[in-house]
Amino acid sequence: MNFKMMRTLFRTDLLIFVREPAAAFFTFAFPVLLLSILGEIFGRYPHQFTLDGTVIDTTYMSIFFPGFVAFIIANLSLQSAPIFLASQRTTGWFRMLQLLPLSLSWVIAVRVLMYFSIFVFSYAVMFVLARQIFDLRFFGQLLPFGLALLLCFASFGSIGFLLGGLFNSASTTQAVASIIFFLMYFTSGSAIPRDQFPDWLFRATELNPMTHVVDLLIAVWTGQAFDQLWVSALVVALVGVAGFVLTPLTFRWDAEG
Amino acid sequence: MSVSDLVIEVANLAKHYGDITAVADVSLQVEAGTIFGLVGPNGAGKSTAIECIEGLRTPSDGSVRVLGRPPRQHRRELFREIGVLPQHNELLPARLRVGEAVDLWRSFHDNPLSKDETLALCGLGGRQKARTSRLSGGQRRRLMIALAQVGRPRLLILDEPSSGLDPVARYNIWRNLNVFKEQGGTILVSTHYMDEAEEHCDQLCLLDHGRIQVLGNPRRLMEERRMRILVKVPHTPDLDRDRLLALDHAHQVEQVENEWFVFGATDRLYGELKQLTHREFLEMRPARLEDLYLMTTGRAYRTGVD
Repeated sequence: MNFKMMRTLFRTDLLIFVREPAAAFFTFAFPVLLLSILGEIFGRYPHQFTLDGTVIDTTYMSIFFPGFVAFIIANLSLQSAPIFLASQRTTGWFRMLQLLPLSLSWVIAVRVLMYFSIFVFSYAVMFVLARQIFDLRFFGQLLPFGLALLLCFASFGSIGFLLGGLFNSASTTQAVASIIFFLMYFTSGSAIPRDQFPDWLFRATELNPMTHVVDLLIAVWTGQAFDQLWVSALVVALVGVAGFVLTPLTFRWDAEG
Repeated sequence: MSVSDLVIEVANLAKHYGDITAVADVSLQVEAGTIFGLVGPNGAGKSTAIECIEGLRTPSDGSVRVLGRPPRQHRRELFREIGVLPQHNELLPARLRVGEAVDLWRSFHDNPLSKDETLALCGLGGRQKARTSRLSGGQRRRLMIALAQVGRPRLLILDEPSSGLDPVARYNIWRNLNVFKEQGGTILVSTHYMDEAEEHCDQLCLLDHGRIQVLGNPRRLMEERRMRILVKVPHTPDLDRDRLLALDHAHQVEQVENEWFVFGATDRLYGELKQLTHREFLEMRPARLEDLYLMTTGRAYRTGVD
């Protein structure tokens, strides 16, 4: 596949995606709305955390911003991607692509690249917004934070592709993806900090993979040492391995089989 | 005919889905520079056969070679030389614009038609900005056929190119396809329009229930069965198949509801039937491929008779 073909396919995928009103709203507008509303309510609350034995005073937003980032990752991976994949399979677009002189693995690669670009764009918008309005502060190091973002994106992305291949119908995919997404989101600490949960719920939600995405990102954002975050990193990585192993078994180009 | 003249070679193709046989023991060859029609009613197995030829489906049995290669193993190389029209227009994303679709298809090929040439082929030069969902059925079909031709293919595989279109749209599509053939291209086309198959196809394969019923040149097929004219005779108690076939110029007879369809090679059949039935007027017309189709599959003929 040449560069021109990849570029055109990328552009086409992106155009089709952003022209879908629901996908565009939930991917671009909804995270900004969420950040703005929750930020206005809680964003400036004083909060503190410990870094290298020193207690640091800051705000809710400067600690829990990674929860909003986790929302973008989960929303893209568990909602947008599987629904988009299932709808393109059921409408036959994937069948059409099989009748063209292009490598199907490159189609997947371009699709992943598109989601990553959307994620980077959404992240950048959220970061600038939080920085400008809520005086967001970053306490970690760029490299570990970048690697953690990549790990979370790859892990949840693989689950999104897995979900996208499970059902023939786009509406079934949408229903299942929404249930999984909202269950994970509300119990992960992304919407409501987990330290507000009762003890039993706090423990139960450790089984939620998104909890570990939120914990991992908060840990690297606040500059915690590796021993504070390795468990979450391992869980997120294992979820990713499961996704990468299972996705090829469930992914189908053709709804009719 | 040398092997290199054969663009498609299908031998004993079969495709089963569980207990259901979609295609059984289909063998055919498509020569370069011809239009080959796969004809049959809905559910006859045309699309399954085409999808096996395209490499979208794995045959349960038999072999397929396209441009000398098995399609499933050489998908990418083959689709540089083959243009494909799937059965459904909806395969194009609804939110894609006409010009964007052309750009995308052009990017897949090393030496594609220009954007203007492609748009001229489908007559949509003025609708580049239109979303494909806003096009009429005929316009979308023309666009998809033009997209199939973007890579200057040697072979076009078209699944029901004119299905559901009005006569003008059908005429325009076939005019385009005949130009492609005149330029040396080969076309494998499926259709359930008998008049199209008769008029445009050099060879046709009539499929029903997944099996070949008739294979050959449409005109020759009619001549072989001595089906040149059709006379319709109202059903009466004293007339039966044997009496009709006993006439010198009657070669095929079929009962259709309350009429006998009697086929013959010459107009003399008309006089013989008038004499036999003591009627002054009988309905007579040239026999068509549609009649051969009906005679072979028996479906429409048996409506209300079975």
